[in-house]
Amino acid sequence: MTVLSIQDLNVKFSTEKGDFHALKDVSFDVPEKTIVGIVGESGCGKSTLINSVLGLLADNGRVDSGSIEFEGQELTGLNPTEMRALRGPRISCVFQDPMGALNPVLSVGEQMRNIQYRDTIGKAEKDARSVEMLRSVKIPDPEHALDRYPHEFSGGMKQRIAIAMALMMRPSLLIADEPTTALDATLEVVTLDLLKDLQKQIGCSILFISHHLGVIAELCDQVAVMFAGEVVERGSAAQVFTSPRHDYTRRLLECDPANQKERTRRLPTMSDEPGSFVPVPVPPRQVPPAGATPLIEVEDAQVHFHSGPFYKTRTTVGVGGVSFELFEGETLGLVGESGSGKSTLARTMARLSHITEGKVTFEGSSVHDLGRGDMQRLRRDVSVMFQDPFGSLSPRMKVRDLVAEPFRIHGVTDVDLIVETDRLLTLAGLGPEFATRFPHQLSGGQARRVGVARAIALKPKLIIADEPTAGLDVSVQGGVLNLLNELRDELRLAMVFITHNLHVVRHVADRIAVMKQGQFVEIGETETIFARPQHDYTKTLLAANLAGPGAHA
Amino acid sequence: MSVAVSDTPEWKLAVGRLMREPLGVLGVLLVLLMVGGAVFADWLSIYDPTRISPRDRFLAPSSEHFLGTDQLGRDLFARVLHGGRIALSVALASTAISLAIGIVLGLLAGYGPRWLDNLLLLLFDSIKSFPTVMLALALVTLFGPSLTAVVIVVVLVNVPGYARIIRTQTLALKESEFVQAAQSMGASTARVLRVHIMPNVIGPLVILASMDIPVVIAIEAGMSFLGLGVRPPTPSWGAILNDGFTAIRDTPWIAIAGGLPIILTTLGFTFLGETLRDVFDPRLKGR
Repeated sequence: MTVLSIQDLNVKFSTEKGDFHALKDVSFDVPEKTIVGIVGESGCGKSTLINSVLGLLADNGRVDSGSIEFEGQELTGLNPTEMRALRGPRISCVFQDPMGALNPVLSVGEQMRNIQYRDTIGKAEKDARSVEMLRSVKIPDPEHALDRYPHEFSGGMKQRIAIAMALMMRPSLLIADEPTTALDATLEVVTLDLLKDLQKQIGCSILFISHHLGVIAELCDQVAVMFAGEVVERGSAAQVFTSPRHDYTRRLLECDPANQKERTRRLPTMSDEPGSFVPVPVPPRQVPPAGATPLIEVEDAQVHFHSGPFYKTRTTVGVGGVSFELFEGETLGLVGESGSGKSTLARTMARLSHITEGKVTFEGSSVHDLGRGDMQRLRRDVSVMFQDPFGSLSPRMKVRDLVAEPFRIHGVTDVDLIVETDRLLTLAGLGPEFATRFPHQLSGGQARRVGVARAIALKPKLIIADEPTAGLDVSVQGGVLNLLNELRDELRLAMVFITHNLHVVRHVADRIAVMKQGQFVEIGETETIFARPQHDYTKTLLAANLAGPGAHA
Repeated sequence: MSVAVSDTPEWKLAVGRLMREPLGVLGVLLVLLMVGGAVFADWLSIYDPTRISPRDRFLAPSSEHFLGTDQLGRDLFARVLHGGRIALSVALASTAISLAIGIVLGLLAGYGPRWLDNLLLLLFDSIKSFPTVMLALALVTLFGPSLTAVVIVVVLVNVPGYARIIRTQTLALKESEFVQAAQSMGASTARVLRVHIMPNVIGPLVILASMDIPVVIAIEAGMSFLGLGVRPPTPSWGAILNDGFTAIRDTPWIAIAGGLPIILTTLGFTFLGETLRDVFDPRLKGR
């Protein structure tokens, strides 16, 4: 029996600029007790699809034609009251952001009781059921968890509580919208295992939406691939991932850096013909001659933060004594989970954060003791790229001004700004026609390229890139990584590449440092770290970075 | 979900949205009427608004004197038009000054060190705790009734609110990645504030200020009515209202001539401001 059956669904949004056809003839089924994955990149219509099923389309959206059948009942014509009766007990949802999904001012127990408002049983019974549910998602000490508030739980636990709430009423369909995207790799694996177990236990079906091919391959029985509002391919997970039929699926799989067995200087992108890609071998790391001066040297760096009132100051250790050196033209991958101190270390290296103990030396002088003039010199030589491709661009400035900003800040007047910005934009693979756009008129990948153009504007010696490909689609990610690789070789740049994604860093970094709780647990050449990890934590991290779907063949 | 980038500039879309709102159109018309009357006052009326003519006292509205005359025989239509000039210039001047001061203080409070923030907040709160009328009376006692006194009162009343709005938004933007990015490129504090923060915080404030213009006009009229604002014989709506107030039973047109423009412009600016707020509200975009 099919739980959910979607036939030739067309959804349109009316906007000031005309109708936008968001879903085009989408058809697929979710059979009983199966996990169906929907893969696709941002803007392909995944969210629109979920919202149409839930009857939660934005005011300007409408189902134009087609049918959505849930357990034999047609959903498209239902009025809000009828729809509301289904949402919760029959269909429920888990969203991407665990922080946003829980109400911060209600205790967990209160929220779980609220979900059971339709049942006419006593409070004690409802609480007992909640405890049972929390236990099944492995929340420690579930009895006491009921009295606690969402902020008292970590991100991974919050997401598990959200899952418990979604499954509370034993729905026959659970819609999971990128539920693990905001989680670290190790937590992601745990959450996926949990979902699998619960699905078997409760016997529901799951419609699992993700852009992460590895996750889908790990979890799902069946897969539908979406592109530009259409389902371009569907089939069993094994079939789609091992012998994809549609060109787009093939490209998508090839673009996933996890699917590159060899380290390669150039990664495939969407414009490569499927199957035509040849890896570009990574040259072995050039060991700097003994006695060479490093470009930047970090000696026992410690960063502590103080918080709270003066009579009971709490000290948090952001970075707890880290040492390494980086030479010209070399790239260090900084790997670790959120909260491990990667970003704090990066900020301290660029003197965007203070240093409590230790020393950072850039070209022979201590970074944290520089005077005003030398400080400006450092700002020119060290470029920082921040995580959010859009967030790091001033929203009211045009691309031309954004790229010209370093020249203006440093009073570089001996260049023609228009010529120079055009050149930089071309170098970043964009072209001069982007100069007049605002950030919100760019895609994520384009915004990132603007960031790259700006980072290399004044020919820096070191680029510190904090998760430069986080939030980008796989197809775009490859292009951005290739760009960084090319520029680095061309300009002899040194780079610190911060990421939690080991598959990405493998193709970029010469050396990798693994960070945990403010310390380096391991640092070494990329090949060595992947082939023979020494520390247990590195092994855990390697195991948690889900292999590419190709590996499941 | 992405919608294809259209070539239509944002402001054209905004104007389009404004023109679709009946209240917005009415607001625009009323404001244009008031501004037009004030600007072209010399051409629209042949009378001198301050010329006293004892023979023409208390004349009812007629084709010669559209709104009649007052107790000194001055043409009320001319006085209303010229009073509009006073109202408009006070409104524009004081709003511009309040905006300038409010933005600077707000940016300083939001971006500057903690002690400066606390100091400025204390200052804003102290000013806010004075009732407007008390503030006006105190200032007039100090400087004497004048247009400048009116402007100072309005600035003092408006600045704390504007500065607080700018401060809150600056605090939020201070930690944003694009500000950090600017700092990492070596931008000075002045540049961060001017180029990266200010353009992002003034939008909502300008709309708020346009909604405050009717309040300013009312303050000017109120102070002139009480004799704390414009000195006679300079025409002001408040002063006309006061002239008419004493003779309201016999010659109601004087009070009407003073009151009607106050009501109409207040309504006009309110409608315009509210529609502008809706038009630029990001939540309404794309509808």
